[in-house]
Amino acid sequence: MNTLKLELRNTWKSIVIGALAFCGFTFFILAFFPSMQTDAMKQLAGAKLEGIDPVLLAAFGLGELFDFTLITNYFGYVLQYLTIAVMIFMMQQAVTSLVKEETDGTIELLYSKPVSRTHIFVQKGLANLFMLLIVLAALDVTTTVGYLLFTDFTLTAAIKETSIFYGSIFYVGLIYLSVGMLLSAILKSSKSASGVVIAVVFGTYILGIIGIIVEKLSFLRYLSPMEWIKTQKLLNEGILSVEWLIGISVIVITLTAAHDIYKKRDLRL
Amino acid sequence: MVTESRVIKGFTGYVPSDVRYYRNLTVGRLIKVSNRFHRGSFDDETERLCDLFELDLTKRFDELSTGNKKKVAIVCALAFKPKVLILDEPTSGLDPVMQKRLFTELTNQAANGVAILLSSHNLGEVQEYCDRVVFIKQGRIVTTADLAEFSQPQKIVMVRGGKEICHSNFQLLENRRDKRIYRYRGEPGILLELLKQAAPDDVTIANESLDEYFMDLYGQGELK
Repeated sequence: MNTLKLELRNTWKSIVIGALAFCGFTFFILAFFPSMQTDAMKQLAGAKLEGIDPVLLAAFGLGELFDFTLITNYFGYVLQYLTIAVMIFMMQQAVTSLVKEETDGTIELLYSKPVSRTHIFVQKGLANLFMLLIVLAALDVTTTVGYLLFTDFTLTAAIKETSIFYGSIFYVGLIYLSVGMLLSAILKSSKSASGVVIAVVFGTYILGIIGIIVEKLSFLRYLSPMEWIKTQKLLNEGILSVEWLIGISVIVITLTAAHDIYKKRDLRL
Repeated sequence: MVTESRVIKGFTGYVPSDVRYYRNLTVGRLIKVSNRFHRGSFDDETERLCDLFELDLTKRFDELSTGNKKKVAIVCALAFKPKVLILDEPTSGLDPVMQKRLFTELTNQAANGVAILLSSHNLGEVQEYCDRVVFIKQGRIVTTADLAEFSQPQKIVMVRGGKEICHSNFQLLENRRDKRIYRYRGEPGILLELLKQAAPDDVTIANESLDEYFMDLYGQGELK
């Protein structure tokens, strides 16, 4: 547990700041919801969106979320961008978790202690998992409070809907964390982490959009985890069997490969 | 292949040459964390070492000078009572008082049965405190030496003018103009007699130190 505690002690500040920023943004967006229900806003949004190609609307997650007077549509639309931000933030933590110790030279202390590399890998993975849970739990609580304050949802209904949202984001988060751990075991320096993280998260997001716009390439949706949890699709169909299969396979394969690479990795100081 | 890495590291203390620990932790926290890996706590021995090396436990690691960082690493390596100590340039950054305290502490540890491996470019401290020396060049062991031999060292004799000395006890190391440098092995009396016969204008006699031995090994490109 020492490595886990050490990791949490080293990262808790950035996690708290990140969680506060995400929660503040979420609350701010939910506080705007009552104003979306006015007739003037309905006409304004409707007039602007009706002229746009439905495929393009679908590509940007507006396919069936047209009516912003419904909180599920309104928040669901914002949630996809919030998810991208959370994934970038959490994946950044995962990508730096192993390689940053080497870049900073702090790994020399850990490697001189009676712990195996497997132990370090597992404890760092658990720390990443714990941090993801903390951020999503904070967001879930904030969203539930926002639903209660700014909509007519009951507590039970609000908890049910937000649990579906953040439960699915947790699953997608696990996939990005696993890929992040693999990249952390491969990268030579943590300095390139930010670029790689943005490329992976936006890359998979854009693959999903291409999958919607180009029918022949619709299979690309399966390579875009964020496409699996778009609000209407999630509420209507849930996460499909094939998406569970792909996601779990990616988690198992990337974590196994990351562990194997990390165990054989030469120490660079 | 090392299969007992965890066990070995459990009784081995290590001081790196360039100490780069977690910069946002305080000195006290770092030492506690280090001890916990060995199932220890901030005990009396840790407190004694912190006092000995005058560590400010409340300072953050990134606020420390190079010497203080080195002292933190030394305390972390010693605090859990290791059986083996590996120190890489332990005196770099330490002031002479701390260097003296470190070697006194290491001498005590060695007397209590701790095996100490010290890597250093300061051959004076090696000669003064170590029992055996291993010379390494480009990752390969060049030679090993028992430093007890250096307690009755060979002489380095520098002669100006006079006749050249040809004797089996003398090895000519350098010959420039009227200045000749010899290594001498043998009785002091014979040395003085031979010098008298050579009638030099000036002579300097010094004990051969590890520095000369090192220069002899490394400096003349004789290692193949």
